Amino acid sequence: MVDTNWENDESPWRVRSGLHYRALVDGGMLYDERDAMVHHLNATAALVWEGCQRGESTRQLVDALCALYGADAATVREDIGEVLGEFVENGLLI
Amino acid sequence: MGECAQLLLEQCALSGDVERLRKLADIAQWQQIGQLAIEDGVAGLMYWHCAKSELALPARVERQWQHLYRSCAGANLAALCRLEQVLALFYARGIDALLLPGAPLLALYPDLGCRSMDDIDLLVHPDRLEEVAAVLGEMGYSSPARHPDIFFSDELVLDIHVDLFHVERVEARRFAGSIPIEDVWQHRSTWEIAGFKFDCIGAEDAAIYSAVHVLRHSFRRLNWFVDLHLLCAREVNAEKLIGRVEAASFEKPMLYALRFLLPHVDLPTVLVAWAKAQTMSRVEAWFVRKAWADRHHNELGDVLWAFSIGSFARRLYFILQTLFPRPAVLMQVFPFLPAPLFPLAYALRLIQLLLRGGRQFVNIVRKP
Repeated sequence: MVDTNWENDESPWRVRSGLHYRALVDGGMLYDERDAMVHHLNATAALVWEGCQRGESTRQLVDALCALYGADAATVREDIGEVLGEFVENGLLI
Repeated sequence: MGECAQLLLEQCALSGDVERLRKLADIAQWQQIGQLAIEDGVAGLMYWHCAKSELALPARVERQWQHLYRSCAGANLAALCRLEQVLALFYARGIDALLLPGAPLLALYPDLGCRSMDDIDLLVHPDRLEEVAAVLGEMGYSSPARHPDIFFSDELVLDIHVDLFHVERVEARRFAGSIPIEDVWQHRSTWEIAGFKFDCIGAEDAAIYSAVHVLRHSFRRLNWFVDLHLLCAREVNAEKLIGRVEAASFEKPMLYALRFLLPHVDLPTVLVAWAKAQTMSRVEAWFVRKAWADRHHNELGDVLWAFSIGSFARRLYFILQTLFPRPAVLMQVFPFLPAPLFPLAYALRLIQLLLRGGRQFVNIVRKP
């Protein structure tokens, strides 16, 4: 996981250009035109990506997923941190 | 049990109603359905319907269908992105092009994982063929040996057409129905496909194309029937479709496909009435039944397509030319054969046909 303080981050996420996202019945997928690579996202990762596309911050993403799943904030923060970490590692977010 | 599983799959995939699978407890039958769905090109669609209905699948079936659904979605998205780049360059160079089915049909499915595409068929004007090849060459596309109308890159295979059914390959196909190509261009329409906008042939022409396609391929894959059902149920103007079918003499392909669909799905009343009013000779009806009953293995498509031709002599010519096309086309079937040895290709073709014909005969005789 990338060393970033996800939970206090209020800055909006921005997605890199050249990425095509489509929702699927069990999540979503991203096609990276630059690297000619497809990334498959599970349901949670798809929701996180959709939030990033809307320019939401980590805090907003956590709030939205807590409300949706009725889960506790700590668990959601941890899950979202992992997903965002992977997005960053793969150069999908800027 | 095989036929039961096949019927169940046909009902579920065509109607989109998977509720009857909820009660299915027999794991062997589930596995049969799982495998049939893969052969029939509807695994992704079935996975979507089951996921949407929160229907729990046996683990192995779920794994297989989910894998196919996801890989299909990824491959389709990649192909559409590349296609958008190709067409942008075509249009920038003043080259007009229309998408032929199946790519446009993706617009009718719930998402990109529900229908796979082997390639994308593009219609261009014959006088622009050289420029098309040049542009594709510039973009890094190449053609396999002996297939000058196919162009491929890592993520996209393009089949370039100058008419709907590659009549230039088998000239006698023009006897089995024909839509004037200017008419096809005139009836063009813009389709939104998974967020991309592409110029495509009109919905009625797409339905005719799909009906002929499923017949030429001997009704082998269920997903082609799903294509036609979705087109008829959502896109086409039924009166206009019948008018175009009759004007172009494609009554037979449309009739066979609609008669297959009728027991499974609701279709526009006008189409149902038209299909019921059409007649078939006893021999023709027998061939159709045999072809449907053995969809995955029969090769009766071209024989059935020949029933579209009124004249017996032309029908014979059509079958002969389909079985033994001109050398450049036949050599595509035997890519290992050096070009100067093309007469040998006809001998090999004869052997191939005798073997396949023998297998077909045994299948027909075995199955009542």
